[in-house]
Formats: sequence, C-alpha cells, structure tokens
Amino acid sequence: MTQEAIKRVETYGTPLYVFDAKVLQERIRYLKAHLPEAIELAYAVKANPFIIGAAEPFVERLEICSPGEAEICLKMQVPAQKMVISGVYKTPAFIEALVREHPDIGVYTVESLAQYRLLTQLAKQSGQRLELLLRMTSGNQFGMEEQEVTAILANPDPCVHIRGIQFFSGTQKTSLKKMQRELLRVQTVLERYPVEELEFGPGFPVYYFEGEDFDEDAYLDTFAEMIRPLMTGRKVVLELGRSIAAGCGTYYTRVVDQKRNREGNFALVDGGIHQIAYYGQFMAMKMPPIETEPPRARDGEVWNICGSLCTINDILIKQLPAEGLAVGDILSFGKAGAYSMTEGMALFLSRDLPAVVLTTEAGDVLLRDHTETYGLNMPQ
Amino acid sequence: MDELLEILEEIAPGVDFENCTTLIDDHKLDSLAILALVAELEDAFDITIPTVEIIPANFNSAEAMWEMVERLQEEA
Repeated sequence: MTQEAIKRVETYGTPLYVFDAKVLQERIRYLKAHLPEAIELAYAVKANPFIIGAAEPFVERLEICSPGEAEICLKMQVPAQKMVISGVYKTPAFIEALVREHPDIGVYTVESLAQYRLLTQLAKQSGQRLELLLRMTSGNQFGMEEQEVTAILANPDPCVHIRGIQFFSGTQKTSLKKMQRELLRVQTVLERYPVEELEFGPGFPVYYFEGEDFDEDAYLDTFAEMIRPLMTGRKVVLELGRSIAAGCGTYYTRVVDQKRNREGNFALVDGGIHQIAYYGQFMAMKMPPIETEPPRARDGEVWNICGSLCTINDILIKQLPAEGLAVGDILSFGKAGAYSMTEGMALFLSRDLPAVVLTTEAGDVLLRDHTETYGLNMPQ
Repeated sequence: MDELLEILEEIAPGVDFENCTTLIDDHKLDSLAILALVAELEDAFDITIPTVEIIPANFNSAEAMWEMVERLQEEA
C-alpha cells in the first residue's frame, strides 16, 4: 500500500471504500479509445451511485432504474437530458412526477405493454412527446417479445417518439460468439424498422481473480468490429456499469482478532460479507486482488479471513498466504468499485455501513461517513 | 475411492472425474454441486467437512478429495 493510502485509512478509519476519480476517468478514456468514435456511453448507476459525479462529465448518459437512483442523479445535478429512465418496475406516480417536473428528461425505456400504455397516456395528458426506447427481451423477466416490439414499431402512438430499441442480456459476457448471435438478432429487427437509436448493454466482463487471463484490448477490438455494422444510419449507445466502475474501487478492512485452532488460522476483520462481495468468487475460493499492510510474505502460514458477522458464511478469503499476519494489519481488496458495496447483506446484525471516500487530484472527499443501520432494524 | 467416484458421477454426470485436476478452477463443479457433494461425503464417510476445507486444493480432483476424506477420518 502507498503511504498516501495508509494515511487515508488512518484518517477515515476502517471499514472503508475508496473510489479513485482519476482511475475512473482513465478507464472511460480507455474504453472509448477502443470503441468506434461515434459510440456513446451510458453509465448504469446501479453499479455504483457514489461515482455519478465523477463519471457524469465523461459519459453521454446515465441509466437510472429506480426512484432512488433518479433522486440521487437529480441531487447530483445530472442534466436531465442525460438521464435514461429505465427499470422493470415504474410506478405511475414516479413517472408522472418526472414528466411534470423534468420535461427535458432524455428518454424513457419501455419494459412491457403496461409501461407502454402508461407512458403514452402520460404523454397525452402532459402534451409532451416523450422519447421512448423499447426494450427487447433476451428471454427473461425483462423487456418485451420481438413481436410486441415490432407491433409497436409498425404502428407507433403519435403522442410519443419511439427513438429506438434497448437490449441487454446480462453481465460478465466472456463469450463474444454469443454476443455476436444476440447482435444479429437485434440487427434483423433494426433492419426492418428504421429507428434512430440502439441502446445496447454488452456486459463487458471484469476479471477479478488470481489466475485469470484477459486480453482486454483484443476483446474490445473484436467487439468494435461486431458493433460497427449496427451503427450504419443510427446512433449506438453502450450501457456499462461493471466495466466502468469495478477498477476504481478499493475496500479496506482491519484485522481485529486472531485465533488458531485445529481447523486452521482465522483472522477476524472489522468488515465482512455485509459490506463486500465479488461476483463469482465461488464460496470465497477465488482470490481477488489483495494487499496487506504491513506487507506480509505471500507464503508460509495461511489465514482464513473472516468478517464480523455471526455466520459461518462470513468468509472473505479462504487460505490467504500471509506469513505473520497480525492484529492491526490492514487488508485492501481491489476491483471493488462495482456492485461490491451493495451486493452484501448490509443490514444484517445492524452493523454500521462503511465510510466512502472519493479521491481526486484536488484531494479526498468524504462522501459518506461510517453510518449506523440499527435504526432501520427496529420500529420507526 | 470407487464410492467417491460414484457419488461424483451422480452429482455431476459427464465430467471426467478420473482424470480432471481442475474441477474447481475450470468450474466443472458449481457451488450447488459442491454443497451437495459436501453433504454426501459427510454422510457416506462419517466425517465433518469444515467450510475452510472447501478450497481448490481439496476439490480440484477426485484424488485430492479422497486425500481430504482420509485425513478427516483419521483426525476424527
């Protein structure tokens, strides 16, 4: 760990999330450099709402999937034109308020025929010609069937403007072959119905664990060639969350107790699985990017790193080689910028939420202090 | 060892348990399979497999699993 990082941990205390604005901005620059120039990016704020302010100037849109996310974006002064109001559950009250108070919202997505009826009705009532993207399903609870999408495209309600199609089939898309098949499906629909825009979520993978190899340059270059044909005569916006956010985040937790018994060595930390999760860590068997401070030799005795929850499942890492690991040591977990914070069972045991700091060239900004949750777990 | 192979073949048919040494690393067994397997092994061999023993070193091959089973039987 750098002296700067150590000082930061001492200043703000553990458990702590640090998001690096410079790393984030570099990441967006890198992605854009490997994609066709005319491609636009939509940042899916669900991956990490704390970095909305740092990301916003560098992306063309922000994808919002709940009233809470909309509130955050509005409070962070995201320009309304950059907002994509997405989400499988949209209440009339929520959409009505947005239409009324923010007439220049960029675009609304349509996840179902009921949502289409809601949006066309609100468009009529308000006199605003709402911009819509029709989400086509990949075969799950999201989006509409191809026939439903094409039926709307063949006969759109004049009160709304059908800007185009949205398609997203999942995260961690390691197989470009599978993605190619999906793109061909989308392309056949687009060729029959000329629309201005395709919003596509490619689900670029993030390789978190030791022993995994990924030539990201080659992956992106291949993807760029695959997406190019769909750009003819229309705008393509890529929705990304994990790929944008993962790399900018680090989670810090401190060893607070130690024990050795016949099962092995256990180091207890002040954080735990209520605060951090890695997608695909496979029962804590896979090793994410870890550093210890003071640096401990990565051989010799192995430690099971367990969190502060009273459940046998609270194991962050199994058998971490860390010779001489001691109480007071800091563990830092890398690539924790996307979803890691919110995929844990945050309210369990009524433990505090970790502090969150944004580090920028101008210095550190405390975005959220350590926050108690017990008030939420009792009668209000 | 034969009993172990039988259990493995029932939980994840079609995997080459005789030869594969990357059952975990290559995700030939997923989390559900591992949990089912642990329950079966505990039952069949009268052992307790602590969570911290569920690691690649012990589950990447049938041979590694068998070594773990024998060790846990001895320790009991």
